[in-house]
Amino acid sequence: MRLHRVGAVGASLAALVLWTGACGSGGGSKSSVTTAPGSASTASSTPALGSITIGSANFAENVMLAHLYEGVLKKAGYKVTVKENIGAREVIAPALQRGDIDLVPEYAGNLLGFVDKTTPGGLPIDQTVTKLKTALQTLNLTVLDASPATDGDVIVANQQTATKFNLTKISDLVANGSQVVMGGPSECATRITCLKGLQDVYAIHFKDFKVLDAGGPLTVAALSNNDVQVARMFSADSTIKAKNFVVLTDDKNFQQAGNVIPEIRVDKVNATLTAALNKLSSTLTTDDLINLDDQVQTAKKDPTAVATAYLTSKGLA
Amino acid sequence: MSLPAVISLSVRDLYRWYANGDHWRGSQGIPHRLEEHVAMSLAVVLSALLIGLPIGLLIGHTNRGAVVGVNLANIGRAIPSFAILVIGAQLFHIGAKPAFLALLALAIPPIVTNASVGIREVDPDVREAAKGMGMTGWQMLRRVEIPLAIPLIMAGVRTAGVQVVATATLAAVVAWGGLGRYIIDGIGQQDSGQLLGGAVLVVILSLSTEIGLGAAQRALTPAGLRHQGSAMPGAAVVAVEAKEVEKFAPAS
Amino acid sequence: MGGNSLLADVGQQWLRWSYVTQSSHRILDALRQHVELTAVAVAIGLAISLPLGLAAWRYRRLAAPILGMAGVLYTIPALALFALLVPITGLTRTTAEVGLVSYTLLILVRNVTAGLDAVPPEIREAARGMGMTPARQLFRIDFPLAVPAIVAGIRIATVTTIGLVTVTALIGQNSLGQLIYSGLNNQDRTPVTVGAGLSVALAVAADLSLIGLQRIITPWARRPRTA
Repeated sequence: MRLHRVGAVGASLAALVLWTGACGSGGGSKSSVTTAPGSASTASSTPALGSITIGSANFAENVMLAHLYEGVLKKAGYKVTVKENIGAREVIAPALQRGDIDLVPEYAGNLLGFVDKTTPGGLPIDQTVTKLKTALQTLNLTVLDASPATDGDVIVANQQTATKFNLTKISDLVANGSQVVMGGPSECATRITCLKGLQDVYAIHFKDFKVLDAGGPLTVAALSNNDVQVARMFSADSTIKAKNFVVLTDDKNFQQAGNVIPEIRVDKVNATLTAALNKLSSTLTTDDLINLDDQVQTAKKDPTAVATAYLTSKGLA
Repeated sequence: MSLPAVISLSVRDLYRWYANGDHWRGSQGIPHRLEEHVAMSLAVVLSALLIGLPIGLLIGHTNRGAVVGVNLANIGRAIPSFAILVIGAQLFHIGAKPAFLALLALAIPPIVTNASVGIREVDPDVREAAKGMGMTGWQMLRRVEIPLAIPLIMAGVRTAGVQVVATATLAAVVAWGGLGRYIIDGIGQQDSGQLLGGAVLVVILSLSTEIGLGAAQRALTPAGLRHQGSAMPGAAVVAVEAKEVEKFAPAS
Repeated sequence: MGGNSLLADVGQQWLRWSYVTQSSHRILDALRQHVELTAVAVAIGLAISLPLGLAAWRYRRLAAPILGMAGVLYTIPALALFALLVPITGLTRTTAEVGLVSYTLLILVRNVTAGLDAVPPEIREAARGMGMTPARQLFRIDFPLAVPAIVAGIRIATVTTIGLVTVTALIGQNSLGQLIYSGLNNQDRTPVTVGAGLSVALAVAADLSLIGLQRIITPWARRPRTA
């Protein structure tokens, strides 16, 4: 009986502790506090530039990129909220248009292919960006500068399949496709950078397609266990090397430029924000990205902490 | 988007999705996914009965381990099904196995609790009378306690059944199939026809399960007790919840 | 590649304390958000269910449609309901709350009705005999005596909601479910353990405190146990 009374009191105390913000972070749905350097900006109590919401897709690299953006924008004077793990581009796009989120780290070529389904593969990055800006205009969205850092879609095969069918490039799959099961995320079936593209551009027809995730743990596990032989992953993913997966060369150039690029609502663009994000984009290199990915994906470090450490090391936060 | 616009577009998409012949064929088709879902739910509930019913009956009959029996459903309910599914997927390979085990973990508690409470609730006078008639413990269980406990036992089965059907939709997040696949893929591909189509199918299946198990409950309940229990959806959930929760009410 | 295999196992550990210390802000934010989502949902659910339960009790003809509606809402799978609301209300807390509130209605309405039903007729007779107006009766007799059942409903609704809040991670909301979801996405067991463990702890704490609350507000509601 006393247990109940203790429970009531205990719970109220706990509630009090929680709400006085033992953590010191502001209220609201998803304000993530970047530790140490980021908090230098809390000296300026009311941000002069207002607030901005950054969304991210549901994989660790994108979450980390979102926190990179968060760090530089906080330093620039914004009040930033981050919504993590929203989902794939198909879900993020309407969210951006509705204004649920304002900014999201994207990949130039893949985004273009999504917005304009007629885009051919293999476009160089500057052409990609120009086309993107035009295509996004009607949606009241735009992109800023593309980073030299790339993380594009790649088709990989597990070691045993690559050996068995002597696979080095994607068109090697034409002959053996019917004996191979491919894995990918839900949206892969309809994407021209994924299953649909393989069918249309390469004329590959697989034995079966299994819905897994976006190059994440389910995909890695399925490839390792040979539940699927071929899958779509991301080029900066350190797991590819770790698991001896074989990246198949895109000989028909159907993939697109995977440069990291901020996609943003037009009504949020201003000189300060653009300068801050462009500086970050130009600083980030592919090697940096691979290193950061390794930290969040393999070493499982906290994406916010990893982002903060990087920004500090580059003097950006 | 405005509500009326969303609704009319949704209805149109829904109709189109059902009208598409491709959606009724093959391993991604409605019949197959429906079968997957029903088969999994059936397997889980039967297994849960096989495991949980004897335990619950034993607890109720012997009055040992009553604390566990009575609290198990509450503890089970406190564990989010999403968490169980993810833990299951991380322990085993993706697919049917983690889904089955997670759903089993969900289904056993209400069955154990309801069986144990149902047996314990049997009027002590009736038990006395049975003992007076010379019944052994086993006979008492079989001829008196279980029949009297049927309403509560069946309520537990109904709770478990409906919960399993509902949570099985969530198993699609860890790459299982079933009707939840349409919901997850509908979200992923922003295909509202698919999303709605799957959701409607799950609702129909859930309601059918409720009604079907309600009918089973009526059929199994001894005639004299028929006035108990109702066929309203969720009534079973609440009836037993209220009853079992009274057990925790402050007693003097 | 020997070093790699060691690193690759990091995600296999069910509870890395380095994660807990490194991500303490993230965890506390998630916990705070989880509690807020739950509290708001149950509060609104109760606000809706009290009048609805009262109506269902007072006017028998309304009981079936009210409970039926609540029942159907209950059978709609949570994820589908959230996803269907997103085009209308966006990836916002509103979407999450609308869905969460819907799931509390069946339990709460049912328990309000059951609680009012359980008021002994003799007491209602006595109140009528004392000349109490129906309104007075409702507030001084019926509702207070229905409190145990109502609180029982609140307890169940709260525990159920705490579990359902985890699903809102799939529509971009922060909660303990977001820890679980990110653990799934990143092949990392520790966030899952932390998210799941805290969810259970939260549910148990909520349950106990609600029992405590009930005892405080209805000290007379101690029934002698039947045998």
